[in-house]
Amino acid sequence: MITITNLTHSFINSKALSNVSFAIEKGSIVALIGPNGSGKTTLLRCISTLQAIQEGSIVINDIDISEFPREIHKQIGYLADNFGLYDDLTVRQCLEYTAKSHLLEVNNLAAVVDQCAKDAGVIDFIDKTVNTLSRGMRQRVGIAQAIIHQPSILLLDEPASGLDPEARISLSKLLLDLKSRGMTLIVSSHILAELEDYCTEMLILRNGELIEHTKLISDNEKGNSNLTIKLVANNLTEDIVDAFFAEFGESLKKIKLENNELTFQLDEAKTKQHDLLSYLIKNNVEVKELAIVKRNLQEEYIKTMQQSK
Amino acid sequence: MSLTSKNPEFQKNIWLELSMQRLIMMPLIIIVLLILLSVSITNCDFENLASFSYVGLVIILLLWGSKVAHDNIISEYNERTWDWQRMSILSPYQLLIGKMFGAPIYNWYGGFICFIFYVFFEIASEKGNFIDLGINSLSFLMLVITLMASSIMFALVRIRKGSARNKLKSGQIIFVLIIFGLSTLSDSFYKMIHFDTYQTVRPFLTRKLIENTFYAIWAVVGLHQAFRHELNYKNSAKLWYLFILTSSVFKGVMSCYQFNDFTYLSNFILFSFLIHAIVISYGLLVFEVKDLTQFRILLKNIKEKNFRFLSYNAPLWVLTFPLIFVGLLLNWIFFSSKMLSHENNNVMNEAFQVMFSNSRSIPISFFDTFSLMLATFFFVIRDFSLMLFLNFNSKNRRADTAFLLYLFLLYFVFPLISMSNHSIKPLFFPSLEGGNVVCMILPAIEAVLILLLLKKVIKTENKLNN
Repeated sequence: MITITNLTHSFINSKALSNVSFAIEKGSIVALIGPNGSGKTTLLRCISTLQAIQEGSIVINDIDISEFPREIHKQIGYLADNFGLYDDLTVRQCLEYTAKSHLLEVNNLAAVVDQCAKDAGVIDFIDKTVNTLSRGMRQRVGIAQAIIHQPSILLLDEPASGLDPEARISLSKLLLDLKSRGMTLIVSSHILAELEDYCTEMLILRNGELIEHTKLISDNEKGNSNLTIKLVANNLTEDIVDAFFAEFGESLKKIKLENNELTFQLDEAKTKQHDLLSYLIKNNVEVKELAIVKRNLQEEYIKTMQQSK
Repeated sequence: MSLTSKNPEFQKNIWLELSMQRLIMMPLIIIVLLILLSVSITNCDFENLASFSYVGLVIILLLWGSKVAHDNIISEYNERTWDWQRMSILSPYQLLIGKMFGAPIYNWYGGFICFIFYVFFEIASEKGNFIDLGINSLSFLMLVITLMASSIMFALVRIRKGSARNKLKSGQIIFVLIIFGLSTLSDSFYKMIHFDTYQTVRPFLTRKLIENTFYAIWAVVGLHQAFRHELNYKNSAKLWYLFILTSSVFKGVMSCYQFNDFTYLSNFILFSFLIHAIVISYGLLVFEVKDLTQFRILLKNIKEKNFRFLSYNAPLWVLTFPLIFVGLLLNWIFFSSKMLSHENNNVMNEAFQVMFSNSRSIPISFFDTFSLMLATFFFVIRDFSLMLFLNFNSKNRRADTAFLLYLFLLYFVFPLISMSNHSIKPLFFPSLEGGNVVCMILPAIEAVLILLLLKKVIKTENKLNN
């Protein structure tokens, strides 16, 4: 859906992006992370056509954006870090202006604006001027503006910065909701804990170079039958574990056992999770937790950054 | 459908700029000011009031309006709302109307009120002439359009140059506007002084109208092109070259018309072409973006003979710069041939002598004009290399200001100090004072030295960036 090949971008006396290449599939939520000045904003601005492409190519939905940048405007929504709102307009006026700027039908404009305001959770404030809203609400108005023309891709630059915990949680919900409607999202942020809640992929940039592109989604959601599972029990001895592995044969692969905590890989095509649980209960194993292990964004990020040093 | 429903940019600006309180205040303030002026000036008549209204028109619409139009773009850029517009599918035409008539809508409103008073007092004074009034008003409207479009273009050049993370200040335009305002007011005072002798005023006003209309059309076309660029359309260089060409011809014709002598029309046009190329190139060189990355990309495409890319992506100063050499060559051929073929043509020879050499006898030879042309060529190469050298350096803060300062020193201060010594004149100007070889060799040495410095800085910066 988004294919970037050898993208290089320089500013006066500095290289912002260097040979960046990756591909993102439809419906992904991609966390774009990296230290300050690593090129996150430049990358987002290049994808959104706000920055001219100097070297390399970006193809979105089979359209080369250097050749047909105006076509891409219809398919992309972009929210800058400070949201870029007209403080003296009401929310309704902001949305009306954006809708008309994308040549949406004037006849059903009011309905489109109301629906978009509902989706973004700003319907209750629709007739208030933007300068009276909190940062969280302003951010929602920004997102409403970015999605009013129903783009297939939404780019968000540091959307969670400066938001209180409540606003961050509601942002996570909103982004998951947008994903469920088939939208592809690229979110740049420093707050890794929040990204973990909704991101399916992670791109790490450092000094303009892409140093990691990892899928974060659980193996199960991805359709892969190999799952990493963690079992925590009160009486998890070596004997019990050996018997457990002997019972399920090749469908299990031990990773580690430490302090009553067993991590193993399960081939779900051969054995289901509930079969494991039934066996454990039947054999009087005092199970406290049996869960799929998700990759931890923060750990991955720190590991990658240390490796790349 | 009304303009507001057709043009969201215009509608948004009306939402932002107009309020009931502002709509009431503008006419109220204008009326109060006119009343105060009429009672505080002894023997204040309708003619005086017409002049006051005209000054109000200049201040509110021409100056303030242009500043508002300029600042609107700068504030959209600073507040990041400009990104929304660039990513919209608004047409360049919608943006043009929205920015030129929407953003300064309050000034158009105030200007219209002043204009009504101006027309009313002009007619009431019984000194005015309807045709002159019409011509003058139309001419003023064209000037407003030219200045507003130019102010917006200036803002667009600034935001292209500004880093996306830095905020821009809005004050830079004020100085330019004040100069325009003063020249407009001086025109109107000329008109007031000569009003009784409309035989003198009519040709003056007509010429002004023609000039203002010509430049208003090109300013609007230029602004449309600038918005096309911002909205990710591709602009070819054809229109730009057409502007320089038509403007050169127009200025040449208007100069002959002013002197009422069309004998040297072709020379005037060619000279006008050269002046256009020089002034515009130097002007754009100061205002446009100049960075090493852009330079590398340009060089790469020049090497690959990718002229289509250059036509669409090269900055305007790069596109205009070669015209200086074309202009120099054409002028040399035409001036030389005309001078050599008209042995009795002392006027041109004397002009050349005054400009380039006091110590040489007339007539100036073919080789003299060649030397002057080549010297000018080297000075241009020197100046452009100097500008690039200053900008490509990693410590390039205020590079453009430094360039202007160097130009001031090189073309004004140094020659002024060494005025008594004619032999070193060729160091600063194309001059035949030291003979033909010195005329060419001194600027050539200067150009080569700066080019070597430029080469060195490019090499160093390339190493640093890789």
